[in-house]
Amino acid sequence: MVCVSLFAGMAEAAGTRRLDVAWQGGSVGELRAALGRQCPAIVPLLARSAIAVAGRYAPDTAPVSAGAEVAVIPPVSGG
Amino acid sequence: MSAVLCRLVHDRIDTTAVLAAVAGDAAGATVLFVGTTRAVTGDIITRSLDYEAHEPLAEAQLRHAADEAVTAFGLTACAVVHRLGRVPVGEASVAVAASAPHRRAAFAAAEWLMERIKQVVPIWKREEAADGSRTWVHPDDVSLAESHP
Repeated sequence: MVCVSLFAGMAEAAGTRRLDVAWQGGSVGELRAALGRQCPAIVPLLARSAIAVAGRYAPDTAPVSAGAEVAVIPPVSGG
Repeated sequence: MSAVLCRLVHDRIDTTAVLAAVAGDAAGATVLFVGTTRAVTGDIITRSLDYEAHEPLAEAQLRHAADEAVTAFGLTACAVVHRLGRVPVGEASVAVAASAPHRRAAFAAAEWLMERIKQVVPIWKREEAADGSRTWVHPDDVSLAESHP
């Protein structure tokens, strides 16, 4: 399993700030697909979001192990 | 020299402290940029902005961007503070200070750092309009692809 943190409009779309995803390990890209299947409401924004693993931005090819700390980072609007 | 102050705060930003953080005998120019909540955007009247962040990643990204600015622009010092939570109209949501031997580097660094904040630092704002509606802002033109290691 991985615990995925959601923020801002992503949390609003999902109706939760945290999604637990059944996960045996795989790539960031595969985790994106699993997230979309589990929560279709977030798919449009997910496509425009980065993924952070263990507190660092990670490309779709990066590995995600079971138990990793994952966050979805939708387009930012600070400042 | 590296960035001296990079912080997320949940209350008013002390801009005097931000300026003081970049003071030094090597500085001949200091630029302080303060971003504030604006009441009017086109036809929309804003009552307040509400900011949230992935705090550990946001602080790390702020520090990384500020350190990059110090190196790229030859700064004497650099500081950045971003406020989270509700920021009413007229109050500061962000303050960036850059000091350098000469003014051009200080101006350019402050501008560059604000652009980086708006591209890669995981902070989001929700606009609360005068009619009570609330909307998270996720700009179409922001790409986090460049921030991948």
